[in-house]
Amino acid sequence: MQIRRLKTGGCIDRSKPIYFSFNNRLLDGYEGDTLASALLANNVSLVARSIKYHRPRGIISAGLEEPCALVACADEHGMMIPNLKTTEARLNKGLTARSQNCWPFVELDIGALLQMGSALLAVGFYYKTFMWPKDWWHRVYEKFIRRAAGQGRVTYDADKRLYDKKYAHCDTLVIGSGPTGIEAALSAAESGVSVILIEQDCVIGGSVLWEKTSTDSLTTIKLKQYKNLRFMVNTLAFGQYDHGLILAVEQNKKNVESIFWRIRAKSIVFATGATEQPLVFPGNDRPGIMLAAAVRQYIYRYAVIPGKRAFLAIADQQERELTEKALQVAGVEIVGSLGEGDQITGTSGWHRLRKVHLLNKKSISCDLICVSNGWISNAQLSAQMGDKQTFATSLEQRPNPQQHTGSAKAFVDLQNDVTRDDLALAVREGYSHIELAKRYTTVGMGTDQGKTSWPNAIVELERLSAQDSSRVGLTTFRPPVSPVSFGALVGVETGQRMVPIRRTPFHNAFEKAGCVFQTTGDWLYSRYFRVGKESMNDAILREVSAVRTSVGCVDMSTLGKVDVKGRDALEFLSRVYCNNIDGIKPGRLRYVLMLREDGILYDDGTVAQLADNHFLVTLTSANAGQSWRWLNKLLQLPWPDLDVQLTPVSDHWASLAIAGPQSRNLLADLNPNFEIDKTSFPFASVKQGLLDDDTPCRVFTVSFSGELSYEINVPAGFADQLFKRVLDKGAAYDISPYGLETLDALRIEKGHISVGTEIDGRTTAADLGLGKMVSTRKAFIGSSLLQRPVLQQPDRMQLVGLIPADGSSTIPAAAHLTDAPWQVGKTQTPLGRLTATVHSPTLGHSIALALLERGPQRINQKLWAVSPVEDKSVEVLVVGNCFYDVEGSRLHE
Amino acid sequence: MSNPLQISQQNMNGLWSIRANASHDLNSVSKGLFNQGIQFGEMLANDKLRLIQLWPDAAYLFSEQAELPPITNEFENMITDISHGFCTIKLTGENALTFVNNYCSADLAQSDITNQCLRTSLGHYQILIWWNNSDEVQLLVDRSYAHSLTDYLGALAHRN
Repeated sequence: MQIRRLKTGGCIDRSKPIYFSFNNRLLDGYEGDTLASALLANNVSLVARSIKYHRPRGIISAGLEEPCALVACADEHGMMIPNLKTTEARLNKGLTARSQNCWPFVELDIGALLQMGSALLAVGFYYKTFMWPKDWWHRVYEKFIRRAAGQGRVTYDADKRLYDKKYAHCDTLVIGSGPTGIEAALSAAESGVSVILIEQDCVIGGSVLWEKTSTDSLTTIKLKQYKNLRFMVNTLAFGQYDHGLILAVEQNKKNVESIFWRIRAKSIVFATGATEQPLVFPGNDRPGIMLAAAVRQYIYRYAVIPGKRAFLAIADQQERELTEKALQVAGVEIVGSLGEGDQITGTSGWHRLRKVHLLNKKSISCDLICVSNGWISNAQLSAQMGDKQTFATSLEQRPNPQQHTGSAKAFVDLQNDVTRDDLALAVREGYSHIELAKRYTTVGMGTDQGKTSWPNAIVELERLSAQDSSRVGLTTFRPPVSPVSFGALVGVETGQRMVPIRRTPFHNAFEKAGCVFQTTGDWLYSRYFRVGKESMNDAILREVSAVRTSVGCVDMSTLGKVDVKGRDALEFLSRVYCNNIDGIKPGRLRYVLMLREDGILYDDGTVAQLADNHFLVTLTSANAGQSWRWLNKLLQLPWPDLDVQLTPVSDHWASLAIAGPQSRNLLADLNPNFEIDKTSFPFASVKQGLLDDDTPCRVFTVSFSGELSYEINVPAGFADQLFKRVLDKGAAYDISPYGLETLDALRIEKGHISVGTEIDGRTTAADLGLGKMVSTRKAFIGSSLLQRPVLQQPDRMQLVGLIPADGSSTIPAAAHLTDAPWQVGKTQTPLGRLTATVHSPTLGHSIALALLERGPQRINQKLWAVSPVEDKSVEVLVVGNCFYDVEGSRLHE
Repeated sequence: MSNPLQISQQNMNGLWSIRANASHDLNSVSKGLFNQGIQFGEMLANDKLRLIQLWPDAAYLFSEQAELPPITNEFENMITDISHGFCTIKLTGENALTFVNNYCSADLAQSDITNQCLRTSLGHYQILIWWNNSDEVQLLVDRSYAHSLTDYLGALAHRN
């Protein structure tokens, strides 16, 4: 029953009652109410318990500066959303809300017993306690503290609500729809520019809402008449960034929970108003102590009287007069007012205010204290971009500064339970600057972001440390101005949509063939192919065996591919790659190495000559994007004179490699219209033509597996057709498609290098045994700095192979190489590290590639592969980095 | 809504990348196809061909046919077939352009985009957009991203 609702007035719709639940009590309000106004109308003053001392707390404000009245509300899916301010939550049908930080009830909270030990819970107590016994921290203290700490409880259920993210652009953005904001918006719209006016409240009007009985309906009409003016309510601007970017969140939308707006404006008007500040005095946290402007707002806007007997403690005379008038209009008895020289020494009451005590030992019975210590402008958005604020006058000159003249706690930060005594302790311990005091005491660090505490904190620190405000400093304002949910920030990008995912042209066909995929960078790539119910390990064994004994096929479409044309194409490639490639001819290709400018190996790939002045370059999947940008940059900056045209064709070509002793026979069965015998089509060649007279193709004789291999490239639209034919014809050879797991096992067996493992940003070509590929007769990128002494030292880490000394142990992954087994507490200097390890299906035991100091000189030496993580040491034998077909004869069969 | 938004994905018929070289600039090719030169940011179209230049030294030529239109041999070295490397995603329906504009970092409504084509980002996707009217917008995206982008656009449409 709304016993505190005035019979008339307010911007509420009394024809639309709304029923809601608070702590399992069924209450009612009206459309237009916030949860706070509805609770006050129902004479509910106790809403929550404070974070540390579990003191009873009520509603002190009417907006997003509310520090105390935080509740959890259930959404339409029944999920409890914690830490919502009652002053911001709009009342809607079926709303279910409950108090936080209390057990079992807000009226009877066991946590309130903590107040008995408040002397032990002074600020910073956790830096000085819970230290003994040492192992109790994990066993006892941490569990208890985690349970006790924090405000609301997060749910682990998935958030089923929909969120959206959009862009908007305008010439002028006006933030805030009070009188100033509206005038600015109308004035800008009249000049013809595009205008967006945003307002965080559900209606426009700003301070008009609590200084008049209703908004001026003409204002809305005026705003709507301009086609170039768009206004958005329920939209909070929470961050300002470079180049006129404002981030905002719009709520209460029809289809979605919220819309995250990125608004780019040529000019921005901040009409964000100001926030009233409370007074600091002993017992200033009882339910019933409210900001004066909030009281006026509840009376005028919501037709609610927050109390029946009001005491005024208002610094500014005009503010006092406005509040007196509002209380009189509402029929509230004014029982007293704080005069010159008066001070409040304390308050009484438990779940709600009963009395105020003054310095002259007078006590006045009241259930409402209207407080105001002036207003601070809401300049957080402009401060986020570095605008500095200063106080125009000394804070000591402000009316009625309150001194501590009572024994009760005087709260500076109502949300984080930070008292005057806490700040005094911080100053005694040397934390007198606001940034230090803030972090030590947590003043201003709650969900209200200190809107009603940081100015008072500076006043207190000034007084306590006897410094002026310039020495105390100001806090730094960072986005968001008010809390924003993670859902709003994420928008639609959840699950599979979190990042764009790339699929190769073979994806659908592979899926039907039983492929198990994994994400590799941007790509959804084939990991292995499951036949029946086999395990991954069984699949890998089968796939490797197929490649080594018959034929397999693997998707190579993720490799970067660049079409290079032009009169200077060969010169360009010769400068980019460190190999000698000037002798290349049409129809041939070279394996090439790209160095960074500092001589370190960056990428490997192939250059194939397709025709005169026409080449195709392949890049690794991992570096495709970066390398493409690098090649373009070279043509734009240092070499704009070269006549070279680059075209990315990575997605244009689908690439399927067939590998194994039967791969030539399989290629023949695909009916190419060109010769493929060993003489006509040797290793490191390329031919173009048709398969089966209908499928255009380019076929490259390259191998990553070490077996005879052909990479068949077809335009991507022919991928399904190619795969089907390869499987159909390959059935005669028991063909097995394979994925990344097998690809990796095969290349490790051959000692072939890979980006991210051996090419790790620290190794040179020589380190990896490829020093002979580096030209000594031309200049290329990296050639100068490659000669640095540090890159030429003989004791550098160099690539070797490792096998278990006993022939059977498993070499631990990511192990380090030392000359003795791992011992806890003993310092050992590693001689090297593993880059790759696998159980070799071909050899039947564990093998590894490693970078080892003076690696080639340690062949046949025994060392230890140690893994502190696995607490494992395995003795290994250093061997060459190729474990299979060292002569490479299988490539040329 | 009388004409709801529809999203459809199509493979390209003919798409070629044309790059300027030391012998010829893009204007030469454009004059050969459209009897007029082309500038950066411009789109030329007739009922069979569309030429869009959104790079300083490169343009894309679209065709309904898979074969390259008749063009003098001297330009062949400038042209590379990329038709299998891209997909178009067509959005049709009332306010299709407004829908796309809401999710692009660029402002499609600004007055200096007079040529109704743009290269920009939509979410994390790099796309090329062109449109003839506000009810039909075409997005060009790398083939490998097409499935992901179509799904993404569907999720956005669901929110509208």
